[in-house]
Amino acid sequence: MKKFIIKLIKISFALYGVLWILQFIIDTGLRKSTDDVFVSWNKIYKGEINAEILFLGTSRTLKHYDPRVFEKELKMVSYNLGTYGTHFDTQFLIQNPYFKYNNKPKIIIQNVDITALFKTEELTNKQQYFPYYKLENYKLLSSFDKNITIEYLLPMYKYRGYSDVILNSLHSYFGISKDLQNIKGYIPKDEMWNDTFKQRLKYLKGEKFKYSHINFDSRFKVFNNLLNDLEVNSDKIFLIWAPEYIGRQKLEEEKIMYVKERYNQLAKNDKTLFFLDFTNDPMCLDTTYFYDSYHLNKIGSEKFSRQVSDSIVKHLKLD
Amino acid sequence: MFFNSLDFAFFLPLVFLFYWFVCNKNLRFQNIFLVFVSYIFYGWWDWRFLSLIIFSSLLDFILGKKIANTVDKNKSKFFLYTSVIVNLGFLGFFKYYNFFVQSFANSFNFLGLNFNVSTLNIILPVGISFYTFQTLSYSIDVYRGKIKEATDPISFFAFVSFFPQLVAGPIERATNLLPQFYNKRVFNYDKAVSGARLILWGFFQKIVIADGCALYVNDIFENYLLYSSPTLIFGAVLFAFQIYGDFAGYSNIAIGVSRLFGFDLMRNFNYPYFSRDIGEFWRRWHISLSTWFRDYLYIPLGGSKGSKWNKVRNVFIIFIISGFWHGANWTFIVWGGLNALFFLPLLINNKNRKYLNDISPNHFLPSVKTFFQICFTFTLTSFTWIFFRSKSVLDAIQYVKRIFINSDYLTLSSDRTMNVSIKPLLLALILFVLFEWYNRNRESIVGGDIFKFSYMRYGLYFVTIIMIILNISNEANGFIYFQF
Repeated sequence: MKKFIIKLIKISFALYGVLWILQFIIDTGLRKSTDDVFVSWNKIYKGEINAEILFLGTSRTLKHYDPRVFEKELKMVSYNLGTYGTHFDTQFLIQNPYFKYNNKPKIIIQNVDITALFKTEELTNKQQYFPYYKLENYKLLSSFDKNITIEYLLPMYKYRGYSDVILNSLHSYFGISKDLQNIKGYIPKDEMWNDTFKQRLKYLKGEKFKYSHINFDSRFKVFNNLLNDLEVNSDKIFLIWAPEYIGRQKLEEEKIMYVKERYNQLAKNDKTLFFLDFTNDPMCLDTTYFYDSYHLNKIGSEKFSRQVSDSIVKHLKLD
Repeated sequence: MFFNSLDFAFFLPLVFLFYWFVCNKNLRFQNIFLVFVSYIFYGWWDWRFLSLIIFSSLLDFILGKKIANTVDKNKSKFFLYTSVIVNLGFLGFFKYYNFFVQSFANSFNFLGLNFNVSTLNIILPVGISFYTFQTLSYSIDVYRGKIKEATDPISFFAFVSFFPQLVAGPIERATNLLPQFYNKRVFNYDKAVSGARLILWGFFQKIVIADGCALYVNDIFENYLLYSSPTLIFGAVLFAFQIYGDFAGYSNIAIGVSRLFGFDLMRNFNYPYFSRDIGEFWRRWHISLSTWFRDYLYIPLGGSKGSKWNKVRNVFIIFIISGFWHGANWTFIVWGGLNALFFLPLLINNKNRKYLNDISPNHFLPSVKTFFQICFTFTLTSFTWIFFRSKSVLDAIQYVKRIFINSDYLTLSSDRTMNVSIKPLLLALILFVLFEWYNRNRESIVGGDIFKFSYMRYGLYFVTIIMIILNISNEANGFIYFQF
């Protein structure tokens, strides 16, 4: 009996060691990866970004702001840190390490809208966090996912179901990388208008978007916390509501007005904060600039980026 | 409580340590403890149905005594019938009531007669088919004089509720398991080690193979109308591995856990997919159920003796009831019928017991003939599994139809809609088949020469555990046979 238990304990310890080593190898590989999912994270933790203009927000940020346009127009180093499927509450996961390991930006462009206010129910693209499971972000990560604790304790457990990520890590040891779409964090989509909006309308059957389940007061509290953090780390913050296709806006016009007004109020009370609204821009009427009702395509994002940079120039001169 | 849940990961070590360190002095204490933890294990799912197990145990304990102690054969038979009727009555009510009522109404509606019936919202108690058959085997064996009646209620209750095999088997015979509760268990190092190995292998079968296949199988069977022939064939083959991994995995974990507590359960699977004909397949698949039906139904019906017509009748009865045992759905009945149909030519030509020997005993590779026999048998069983897995017989027929008529417009690779890489699963399946093939003629999958060398043994343990960890899903996936 004793022998059996001692053997089990010995095997468990040895196994635990092997798993830690394996995890270390895979984490290290991912930290070298130039894959779109990991490249920005790796630059953040190496302190290589140090942007003067930093774009933050959801996939709408990722798809809408071309840093090259801003660098050309404003002569300032720019970087896009927009991430797929995030909301304001999960944005802390990327902005905290950014501010810790990089110089403070002069300007932050925070994309705002309604969906960014939503509560995160589960982490999207969870693999992006894997190489940097550190004590400093444990509390925040575990507040979004109940499995995080066991993933921190049991090595390799976080990689379950992610064989492609493991392969990606191994590839990076041999210098194999996929064709990068990422341009200073910005990932343009060179596609024309698709039929997802049509399908959405069909699904809605004449109904409008219902946001009755969202407690906007509590969601704005989260946003205020985020804003406080941004204000500590930058001199000027632009809240920008990027274009949305007009058809979509009609499905949520009442809520858009309400939320827009709240962003507006925040900007009125703060001299370092500007709110720019592009939901009335003529682009919103033309599907040429969109690939779906919520995201601009490459043509749209390039045009929009020029518009935003022009607006910033004006505001900075006025300031 | 699922074996593959976090709850069980805490439950098993705690129970194991308490059992061997606190209860090891006294047989009675060991058995009381096992009944107690078995009820916790079962009650974790739904404590209300514990009453059914307790009632069933009490009834068969009393009737077993009556059967054994009654001199009058007719009275003895009466007690046996009471046991059979009450046990099957519970099973019939919980499992088949709605099916019969609905089928009855459907047949009237089919004839143009409007017949409205109301079905009941009945929850199927987990494992009812398994423990009902186990207690029935006790009553019948006492009646046949194969086993002495239980005199100690605690031992008997422990036999009925023994948690490793309570909900999905193996369906133990009283003649094998009950006497093990009469003797104090003493810790046996070798037995515990082999048990731990079986548990590990069982988890590999369940988590890596079965759950890995389930991802694809569920999608393919749910959306079979969207898929082309190669994908549908692939779906059927994957389901064959899923159900095997799922059920054999459960059985191995159950046998392994039992060994940790000093018990020996019967073998439930014997590398069934290397069978050379359907007859051999049924001697290697779900052995505890096939032999149950053989001993308590097939042989009493006359078995393979008598006229040809009797043989045919008996084969169909046994396979259709076996199908029906799996669930109240026509799909299972058709599945049983198809197996009978494939088995029949062997029986009629007296070839149903042709392959009782080892598979390619002196060679690593099979002969060409054996290879094709194995492939052919696997094709037949995979075909029948389509009916087993489909929601309805109509769905199964459509599925099969699409295999034959939809062969040219899409290929497997472009057919995939899920963003899940198939390569790791295919690699796992290849390793799985090779490991099974390597051990095909061994009593235990974990007893081969490979385990004689410690570096290979530990290498194998670690690789297996890593593969299991990398395939665990966030929510414990249930075992298919729990629903039966």
